[in-house]
Amino acid sequence: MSDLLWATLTIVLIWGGIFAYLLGLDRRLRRLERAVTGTAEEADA
Amino acid sequence: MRDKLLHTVLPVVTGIWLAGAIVAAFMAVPPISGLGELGRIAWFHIPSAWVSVLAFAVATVNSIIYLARRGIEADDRAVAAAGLGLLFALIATISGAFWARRAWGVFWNWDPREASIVILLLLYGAYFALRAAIDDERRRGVLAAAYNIAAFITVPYLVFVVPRVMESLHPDPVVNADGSGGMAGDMMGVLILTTIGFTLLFLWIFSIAVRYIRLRREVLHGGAL
Repeated sequence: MSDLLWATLTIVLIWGGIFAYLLGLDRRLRRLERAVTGTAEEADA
Repeated sequence: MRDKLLHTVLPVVTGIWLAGAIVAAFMAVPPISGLGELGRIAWFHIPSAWVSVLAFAVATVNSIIYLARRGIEADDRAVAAAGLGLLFALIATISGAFWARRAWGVFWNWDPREASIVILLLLYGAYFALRAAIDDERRRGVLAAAYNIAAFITVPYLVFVVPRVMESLHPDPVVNADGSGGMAGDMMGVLILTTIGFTLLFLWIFSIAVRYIRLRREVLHGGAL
């Protein structure tokens, strides 16, 4: 494979890593939001 | 509907779009004349600079909204946007330095554009220093919003005026394959692709950052989420 193709694959893989990290962050944040909202609702009840 | 857009559609579209834009930036256009393969950094450097200006503008709009209505959510959005503006300005600075090393032989030579972005980084760094120095939430919000609006007044001047009225080596018209001036159609296409991709990425990270700031405030200080 050419150097350019390797470079492209490497950058796409790096982007894939950043994408997966952000996706994980998004999911974790959603879980925390649900947990905090649930705690607040329980306290109100 | 809004949740589905933020949590599903935006991440998926951003992921696919940017992957496609990266492939296009490497495979669909020839190297920029005289700069070799490293010249391709332009397809990521220019969108980073664009997103930093966009983020600073979003921060300013939210600071104005905060001063008008005093809703803490506007302050949250201003902080998130200013932080992202700083991050993307830093990416533009570092990628620009690599470009400069290839094009001018040095990483840094205090070109007007380089000096402008350093001043911008300092201005917005000071915004966060100011925030960190004030404990009271309301007082911090008002002072930071006023500072943020004043800081943004310099952005059009530093980004658009200074590099045009002063002698600059920074390339505006020579980003094409044959160095003849203007930008070739295929290169402009790639630039538009990466710019849209970076804008989507900004929107996604911005939504995550705003939710994080709200959640942190909720957990630390209590109050309605």
